[in-house]
Amino acid sequence: MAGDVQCELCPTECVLGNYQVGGCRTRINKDGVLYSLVYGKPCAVAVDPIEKKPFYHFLPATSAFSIATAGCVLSCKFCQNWQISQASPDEVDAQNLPPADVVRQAVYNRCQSITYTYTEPTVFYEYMYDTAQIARNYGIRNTMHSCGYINEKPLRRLAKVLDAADIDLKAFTEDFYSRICGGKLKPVLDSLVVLRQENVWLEITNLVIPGLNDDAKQIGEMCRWIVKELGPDVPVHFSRFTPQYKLKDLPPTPLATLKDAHRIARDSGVRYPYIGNIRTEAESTFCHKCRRLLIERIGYFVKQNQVVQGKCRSCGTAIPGVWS
Amino acid sequence: MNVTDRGKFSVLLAVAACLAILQVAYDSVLAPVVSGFSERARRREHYEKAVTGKGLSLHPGMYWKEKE
Repeated sequence: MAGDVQCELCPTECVLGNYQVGGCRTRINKDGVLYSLVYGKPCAVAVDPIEKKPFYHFLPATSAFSIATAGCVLSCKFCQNWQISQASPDEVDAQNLPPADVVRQAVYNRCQSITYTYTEPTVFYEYMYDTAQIARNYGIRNTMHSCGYINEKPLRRLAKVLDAADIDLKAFTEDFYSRICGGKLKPVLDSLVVLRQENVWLEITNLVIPGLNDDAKQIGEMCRWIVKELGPDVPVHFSRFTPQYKLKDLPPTPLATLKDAHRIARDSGVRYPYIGNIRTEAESTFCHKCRRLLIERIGYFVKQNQVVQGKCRSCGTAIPGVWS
Repeated sequence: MNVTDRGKFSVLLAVAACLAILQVAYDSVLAPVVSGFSERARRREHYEKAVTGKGLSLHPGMYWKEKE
């Protein structure tokens, strides 16, 4: 229809009539022009340890200035931040924080990076992009925690100002993405490959949900795909599920399931698998060659770091990551 | 005027046919137009409430394909 606009940001590619808001709740067609409703309007602002994102091979023990706006491109039934991700911009309390002020706040709080996180940063693409450009001028790194549900062109453009990305690979079946998340798996896999090609430091998070995506065969297939397409050096975080949002009837992930996933990943060739959201030895980093302890973590706290100039202090092997 | 039963029945039949045609025409042609108007009015009202009411502002969104 005349006056309709197609949003090209995520693979959903909503066609919007006049005054219609996209599925992400944050982009609107007004008189034939597409606008963002959340530019400079974060609803969550915090200084977090970078380990919380989680990034384990990116500037360990530093602080990340973290921001999010309302909205998301997916509708995961297990979302941990559904109060803001599944809300419209008018339903949340947002503050006025233009890009330059985000960078100013990051500098003031001595953060070495800004992380676009909590909800889905794709929905505040323009805000993230402008902030990242300014941040670069001040030597502050840019990272995002995303579901990777974004089209190739915007992602390649964003990658030019992005230093690291933690992508949620929620499962390895189209059925899971369609039934539980309201999306598709293929675009997420494509995004992972694009980020790798663009030399953005990449880590992957897989939330293991009992009965939904904890099948050992499926985890094995996912890990083999990661090793083949992205390489063995991409850290994979198996995160513990706790009942949330629309999946409150499921139990938390048993530790044994997470340990199985960790073992499968290692057997598949992933050099740096981790277990998250629960205290275990598998939240620390071990050298993939000599197996000595490199970075000892207790939750988000780094107790010791034996990576010296990007190398294992014991055997001198180069450890993949961004260390300074 | 003397109207026969047959005449009365014919008039009734013609009126019923007209009503049926009008109903079908409304459902297939007018109803979408009317509901389109009301949907747009609802969206506009929501927009006014959301944007001006909550102090949000509009920032131009990016495009990547060539605009037709």
